[in-house]
Amino acid sequence: MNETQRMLLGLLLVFIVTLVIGRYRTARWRPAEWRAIFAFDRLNKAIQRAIEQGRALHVTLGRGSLWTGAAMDSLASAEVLRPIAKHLSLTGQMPLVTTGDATLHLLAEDQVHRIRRSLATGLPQAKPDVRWLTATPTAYAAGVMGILARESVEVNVMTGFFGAEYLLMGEAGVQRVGVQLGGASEPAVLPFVVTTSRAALLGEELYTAGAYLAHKPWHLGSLWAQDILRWLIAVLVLVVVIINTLL
Amino acid sequence: MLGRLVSVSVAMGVGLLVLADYFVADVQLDALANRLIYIASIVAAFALFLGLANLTRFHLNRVRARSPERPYSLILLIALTASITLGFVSGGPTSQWMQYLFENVLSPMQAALYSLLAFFTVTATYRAFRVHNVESALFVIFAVVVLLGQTPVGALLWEELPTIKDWIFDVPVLAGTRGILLGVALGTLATGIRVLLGVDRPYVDETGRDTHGHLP
Repeated sequence: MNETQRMLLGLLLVFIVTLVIGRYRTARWRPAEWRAIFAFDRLNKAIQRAIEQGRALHVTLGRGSLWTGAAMDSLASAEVLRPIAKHLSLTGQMPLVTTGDATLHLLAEDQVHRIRRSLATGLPQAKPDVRWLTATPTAYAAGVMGILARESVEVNVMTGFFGAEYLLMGEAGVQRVGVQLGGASEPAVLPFVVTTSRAALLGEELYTAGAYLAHKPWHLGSLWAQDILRWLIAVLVLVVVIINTLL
Repeated sequence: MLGRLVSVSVAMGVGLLVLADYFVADVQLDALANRLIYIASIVAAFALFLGLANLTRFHLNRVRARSPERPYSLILLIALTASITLGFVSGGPTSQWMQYLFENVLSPMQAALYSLLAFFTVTATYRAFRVHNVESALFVIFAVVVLLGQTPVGALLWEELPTIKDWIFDVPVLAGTRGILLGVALGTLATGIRVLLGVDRPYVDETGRDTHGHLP
């Protein structure tokens, strides 16, 4: 095992221990104690707006395949989709979901169908509409732009793994929909997200949906663990800088 | 219940084995991990077939329903069938005909769509340049300095502008980007570990017993 592997293994073990401690520490946390993330407040209002107006809520989950490095972004975006689908299905509606990757399409379709089944309210329910658009970035962007142009979309939510095509879809959304919310972790895409969204999930905020929207204890615990590790890394950087400066 | 147990065990077992392969130098473990990754790639390829089926079904339904978008769906279905047929007849994606199709149909269309990015960047920048609070004012000041510093006219106006531009890139921008990357890395790690430990199970049906997944 080389030095990098030893360091990564150490980090992994520290994180797991901190996560387990965080899981039990955060059981008594109250939402008022968390840092407010404007995009999540805005999302709740946007869902209500789509329900009130009876127009579609479109969610696009990006094009991060579940078996590549972008899988975590896709899993995080699925955490954003779940509460949206839950909320809408209580009123008999379902979101219009699109993806730019086939494996992610299967995950999205599965999630939406399960939520529809589990929250059957007796009301007539809309059929889930989950579409795989295509596998190439430009064609994916063209597909989303077409949906925003032709279908009656009130709220457009775009979270997950994207490239430069985000700006094409984002600008189409700015011109066509009532409320647009975005989220990405790729630094090169963040300017596009900020300039085209009413509220944005930037960087690590994308991974907090499970904690903020569903209040899942393990997700809250991982937020605590992330904070602890961030402080540890910051202190470590400072210590190394001081040692290197003095020696 | 048994199905859920099997799914979780398989997912955790496979994930931990592949992770262990990164840390342990063992030939047999390496072979096993490579085999598992190979199987995952085959499963991912099947997902593409299912995606294709979804796409075809959606557009066939639209044609049958005589929706106003029927012509677009017809074009898509014809192009899809033609490309697949051509691929099979001509000898696969690397054949001369398929390469011709890519170079003369797909690539120009992609380039045309990407060319819109230049115009969209201008409109997005125009919106971003509206000053409505301290942060946006700072943003505009930094953006103007960088824009002038990037162009020859900036150096003519004030010779220090390119140096200031370089400092903005090397210090605040780099520091901010590293901060974002650090947060993203920790978020990715957290998501990965939750899946690996079986805490998050997107592959099993939990909606019926998800007591914590209450609505926000």
